[in-house]
Amino acid sequence: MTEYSRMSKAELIARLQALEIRSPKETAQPSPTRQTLSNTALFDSEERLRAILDTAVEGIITIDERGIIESMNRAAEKLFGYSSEEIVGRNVSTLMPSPYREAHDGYIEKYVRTGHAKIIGIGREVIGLRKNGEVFPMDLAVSEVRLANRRLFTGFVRDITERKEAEKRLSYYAAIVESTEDAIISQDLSGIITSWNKGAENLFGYMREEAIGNPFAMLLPPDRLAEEEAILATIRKGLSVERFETVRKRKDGKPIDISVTTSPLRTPDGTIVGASKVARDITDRKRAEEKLAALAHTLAEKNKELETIVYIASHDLRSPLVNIQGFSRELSHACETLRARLNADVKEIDRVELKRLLDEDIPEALEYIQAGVTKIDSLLAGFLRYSRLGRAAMKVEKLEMNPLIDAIVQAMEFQIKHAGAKVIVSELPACSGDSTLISQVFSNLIENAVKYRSPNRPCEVQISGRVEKDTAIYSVRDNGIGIALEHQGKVFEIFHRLNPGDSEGEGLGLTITQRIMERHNGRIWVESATDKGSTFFVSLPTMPQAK
Amino acid sequence: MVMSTKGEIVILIAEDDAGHARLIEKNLSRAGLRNTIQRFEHGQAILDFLFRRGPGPHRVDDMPYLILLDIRMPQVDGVEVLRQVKADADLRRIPVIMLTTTDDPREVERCHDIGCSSYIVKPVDYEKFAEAIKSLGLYISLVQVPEVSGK
Repeated sequence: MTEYSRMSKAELIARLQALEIRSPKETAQPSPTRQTLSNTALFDSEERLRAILDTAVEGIITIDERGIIESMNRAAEKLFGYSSEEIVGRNVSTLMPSPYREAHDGYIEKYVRTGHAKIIGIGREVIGLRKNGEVFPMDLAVSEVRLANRRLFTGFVRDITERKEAEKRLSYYAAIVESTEDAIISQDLSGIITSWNKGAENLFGYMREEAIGNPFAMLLPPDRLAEEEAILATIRKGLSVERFETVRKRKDGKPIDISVTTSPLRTPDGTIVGASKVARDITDRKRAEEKLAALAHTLAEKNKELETIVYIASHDLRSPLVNIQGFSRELSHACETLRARLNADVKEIDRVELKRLLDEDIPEALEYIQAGVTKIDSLLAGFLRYSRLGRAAMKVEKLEMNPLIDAIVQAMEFQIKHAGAKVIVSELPACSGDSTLISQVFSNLIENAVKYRSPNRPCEVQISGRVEKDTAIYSVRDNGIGIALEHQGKVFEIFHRLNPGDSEGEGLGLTITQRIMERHNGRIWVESATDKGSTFFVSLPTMPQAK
Repeated sequence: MVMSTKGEIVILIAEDDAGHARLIEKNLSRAGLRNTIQRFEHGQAILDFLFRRGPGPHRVDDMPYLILLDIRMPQVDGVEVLRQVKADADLRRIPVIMLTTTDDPREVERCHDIGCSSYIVKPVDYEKFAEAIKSLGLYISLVQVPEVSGK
C-alpha cells in the first residue's frame, strides 16, 4: 500500500489502464475460470488497487464515452450520497445540477468528435449535485484512459465547500477592512508596513503602493519617533496598546490628531510576527474639545468680570448712600438744634448759631443728599446702558471707515476746536460691523484722546489702520497724559475713572467700548506711557462672520 | 525715635468722596476731637504730601501724624498708599486706619497683611457710622503717636 500511495496520479492512471475496471458486483463474483496462479496474482493486485482507490481522499469516478458511470470509489459515494450499486450505469450528468446537466452530453460528444477539451487534463471548479439535492462546489480533474477498443474518462473530485467558505469569509473581511473609514494597517516587527487599507489612504494621503514596504516611521513627526519604538516594544511582549491619542504626519506634511489601537499579529502557533493598527481621525473631536475649553475659559472670564461689576457696583452705590443717610441725620441734628433753640427763651436765641445752621449746615447737607441721589441715578443709568448693549440687535454690514470717522470728527468739531486739538485721519481699511456701535467706539476713543490731553503740548490725535489676514486693526494715538502701566488694566473696568475731579463722565465709556468689541468678535487694547500718550487699538473682522 | 504726646496729632484723611470726608470731620468734632484735619482728594495727593513731592503742601518734621485712608480711590488707591507708607523706613511708624464701604474679608486681610493699624467699615447706617468715628476719636485721643522725621 505504501508503494501505491507514493505513486503519482499519472502512474496510478497507467496502472488503471492495464486493468479492466469492472463494477463491484463483478469484482465480488470472480469467475472461477480466472482461478489460475497468474489470475490470482492479478486478482490480488486488482484488490489492492481497489483498496487504494477506496481509501483515497479524492472521489474517483469513471465514465465511458457516452457519459455512463462505470465505477465510483468510496470517497465519491460519500461525496454524492449514492452507493455504487445505485449509480453505476447511470449518466454522470445525474451528479450535476442544471444547466450543466443538460450541457454535459454535448461536452463529451464535442470532445470525442473534435478532440477539444474544456476540462480534460486541466481541472477546474465546478458545481456538484448530491443525491439529496444539495449542490456544492468541487474541484474536478478529468483524465482520459484509452483502452484497446474504447476510452474511459476518470474524474477526480474534491469537495471544496470549506475552502470556498473560507475564501468568502476572507473576501467578506477584506470588504469590511476596505469599506471602513478607519485606517487599518499592519506592519512587521521591524516596523515595515505590510498592509494598508482605503481608510489609511484617506487618512494619511499615501496610496497603498506608496506605503507597503516602507517604514511606518515615515508617518511620525520628528518629536514622536520614540513613541512608536515604545509601542513596538509592548507588541513584542504580546500586549496591545489601546486608543493611544497622538499626532501623525500626513503625506502633505500636515499633522493629524489620531487615536490608534495597536495589537500583536500572531501566526497560528502564537509567534508574534508584527502588529495591526487601527487608527481613527480625532481632529474634529480634538477641535471640539479645544473649542469647549476655550468656551469654558471665556465663561470663567465673563463670570469674573461679572463678579467685578457686582463688587464695584455695590461699592459705588454704597458711597452715595452713606452720604444720603449721613447728611439726613445731620439735617435731623440741625432740626433738633433749631427746635431746642426755638423752645428756649426767645431772648436767648443765638442768632449766629441759627444763621450758621440755616446758611451753612442745612444747605450743605441738602447739597450732599441731592448729589448722592444724582450719583445713584447716573450709576443706575450706566448699568442700564451697559446691560441694554448686550441685548440690542446688531446690523453687521461692510463699513467704509473714512466717512464714518469723518462724521464723528465733524460732530465733535466744537470740542476739538475748544481743546485746540488736531485730528489726523489716514487712509483706513474697511471692516464689518454695526455702524452705530462702531461709531460709538471711535467717538469714545477720540473723545478720550481729547479729554486726557497734556497741558504741556498741543493735543494731536492720529487715526490709522491696517489689515492683517482677515482682521482690520485701527489705532487711535494721542500725545496726552498717558496711563501708568499699573492702571492700564483698570481702564476697561466699569465706572473706573482716570481723573474724576478733572473731567466729566461716569467711567463707562471704555467699558461699553470693550463690550461692543466683544459683540463684534473684535478686540480693544491699549499701549501707553505716562506723559507720552496712549494708543488704543481696535481690531475688527474685515468680513462678516458667522456667529 | 521720640515718643511724644506733646504735639497735637494731625489727622490726614485721604478720601475722594467729599461728603464722606465731611461726615468724618463732623463726627470727630462731635466726639470732642479738636485735632487739625487735613484732607486729600486722592492717593497721589497724600503721597506727594508724605514724600514731599510736587508743588502742594508737604509734611513737617517732628510732627505726629495719623492717616485715615479710603481704600477705593481712582488711580492710586488706599492699598497702594498703605503699601508705600509701610515700605518707607520713616513713614512706616505712622498709624494708618483704613476706611471702606465694603467688608470684603480678602480686602481686610490684605490691608492687615501690609500693616494697617485698624480697619473701619463705613456703614450706611449713620448711627453705626457715628459710633465708629467716635471710637476712632477715642482711639486717636489715647494713642501715642511717634513723631516722624527723616528726609
